[in-house]
Amino acid sequence: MEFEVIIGDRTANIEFVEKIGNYLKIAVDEKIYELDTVTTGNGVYSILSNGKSYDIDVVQGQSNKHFIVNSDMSEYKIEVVDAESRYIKAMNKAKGFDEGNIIYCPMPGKIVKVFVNVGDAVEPGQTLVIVSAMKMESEFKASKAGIVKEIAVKEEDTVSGGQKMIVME
Amino acid sequence: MIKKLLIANRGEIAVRVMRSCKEMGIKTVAVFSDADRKAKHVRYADEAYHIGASPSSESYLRMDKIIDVAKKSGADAIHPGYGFLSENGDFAQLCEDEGIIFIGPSPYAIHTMGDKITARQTMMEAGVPVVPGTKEKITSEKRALEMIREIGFPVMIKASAGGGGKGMRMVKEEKELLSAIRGARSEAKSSFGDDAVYIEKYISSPHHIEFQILADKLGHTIHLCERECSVQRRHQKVVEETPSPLMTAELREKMGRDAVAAAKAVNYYGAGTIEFLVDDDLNYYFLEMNTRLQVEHPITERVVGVDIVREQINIANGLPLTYQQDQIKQRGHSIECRIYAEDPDNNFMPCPGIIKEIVEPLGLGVRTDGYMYEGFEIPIFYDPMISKLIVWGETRQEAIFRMRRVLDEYKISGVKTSLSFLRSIMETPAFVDGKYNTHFIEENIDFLLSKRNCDKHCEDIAIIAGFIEYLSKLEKIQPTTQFEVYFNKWKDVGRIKAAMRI
Repeated sequence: MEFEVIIGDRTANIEFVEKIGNYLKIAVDEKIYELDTVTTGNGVYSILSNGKSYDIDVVQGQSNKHFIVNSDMSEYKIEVVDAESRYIKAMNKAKGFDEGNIIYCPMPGKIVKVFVNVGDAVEPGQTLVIVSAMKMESEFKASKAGIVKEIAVKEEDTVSGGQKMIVME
Repeated sequence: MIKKLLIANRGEIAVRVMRSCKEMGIKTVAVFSDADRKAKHVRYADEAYHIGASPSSESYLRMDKIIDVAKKSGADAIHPGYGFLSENGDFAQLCEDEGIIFIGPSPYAIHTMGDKITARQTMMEAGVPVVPGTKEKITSEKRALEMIREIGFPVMIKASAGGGGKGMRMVKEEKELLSAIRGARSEAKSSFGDDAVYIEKYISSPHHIEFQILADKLGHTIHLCERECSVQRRHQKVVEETPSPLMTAELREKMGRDAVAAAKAVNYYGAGTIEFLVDDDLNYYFLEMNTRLQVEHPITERVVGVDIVREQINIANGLPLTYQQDQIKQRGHSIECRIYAEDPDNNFMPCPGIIKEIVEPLGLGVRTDGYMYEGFEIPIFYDPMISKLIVWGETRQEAIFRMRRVLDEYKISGVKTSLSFLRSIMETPAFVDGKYNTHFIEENIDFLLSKRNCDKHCEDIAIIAGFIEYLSKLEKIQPTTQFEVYFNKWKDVGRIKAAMRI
């Protein structure tokens, strides 16, 4: 089985070749890796690659296909593209729906203010929502011009990390 | 003598205070809000009582509820920690009126030092150098202008009741002055309910250096040397160290003497901190006094070998200080890094959440003051500082190398933290050379936010790790549905067994 993984601007092909116990043979963009991988559970992995030791920690992102990978102070956001997400992406594309139009709240917090209403036209850089967490207020701005299609939160709401706040069109 | 102490705080500082109490045989009482039922300070204390809803204004700032708990639990004293009620003179007074010992200075000292203009006047009278500027609050804009012509632009306009950068304006030219005074006034009025502002000369590249002092109720005051706190972001300290790389023995003696004089000027007792601004020519000026335990007190404890919380409790008991000034000697070098739950790559946005895994660093010369454990959810209601990492080394260089090692070793997953940002600070040449001032972070921000080199190989490893996690999640979902029947059967077996026992 072959999958794609999106990491920054790069889309890598990844394919399982073999797995026997901890031994894992895996191809990333045609480069074959032979690794010794174990997990302590909870998304924590120890990977040995030609004797070099990597201590890696993986946390789920906004969906079960998005992950945040921490390796020695470097952080990567990755997305696994499988058959299901390929299908969803194709469907969304056909419907003219773009994932980039959804504004998520990246952390838990409380909605302080919502500046827009459904149907409003917004300019790039316009503040849409203010979320308060840990005595700090963060502004969420429109990245591009558009029309507000849906507002999924209201003032005083408590939101969790990854929750949808606003959908643009 | 204090036998039972209530800690009117939460987080790492509540745990820190309880540690000294346990060593002194004093019983500890925790208070907690809705959000903190599972917090470490509640679990660590001998007794714990709920005091209200999650927002601080409904719990940790409720003087009446805290006093009630003190009476109900029979606590003889209250330690306020830092933040919350720690610099509230009215609370200190209330404790006194209710016959409960407040671990801190007198209400008079808190009020005098809490009002910046009064504090400046008191310091001038005590002969402690203050930043050149007005002695009284500005009443006439014409008078203000005459004053500024004397000291020269640029100047700072500051709120007398101020703090945290609010009600503060920098003025470079005469034409900006009037609007700046009005702006600072209205901000001060809305933030602190007091529109008194004053003018100070702007010190262009200052170092923020503070002196820890201890004073008993018998009139004996000593200082525990300095802390260098110039690594700041938005007026919040990020890294502190002692000794200061800028300090000389003569300057230390002079500033230490003035710090003691400053404390004596308000008949201070307890632990306190005198903050100074120091310019490149080693001129120094009194900035303010913090009439409480500081976040960064552990570096002083490490270098001079004094448990500051234990001294606070002894002082509150009316005992004389354990140490004389000539017994205070700095040994080696100590650095503290404050770890915040925030995302340095995303404009330092706060990131509360659930701690998935935490591995605290250990080894020679390491101390962590924190309150997190696996599975704990960091509440959204309080300060984003989640832990402090303190190292000690024989030399400054050894301390920096050790700090790099322990930052690498510290693993916190589930929430984003400033660990990588702190690691970059330890690599920044200006920090390594000890040549930095309060502009350090803004001057080095590009270096601090630059990514550490990672080749394609380690990027590939990250892809693989993420992919394995994705697959393992998939595998986990399928078996649970398939094997549900078995799990239910286990439950049945359990029930049968339980029934048979009856």
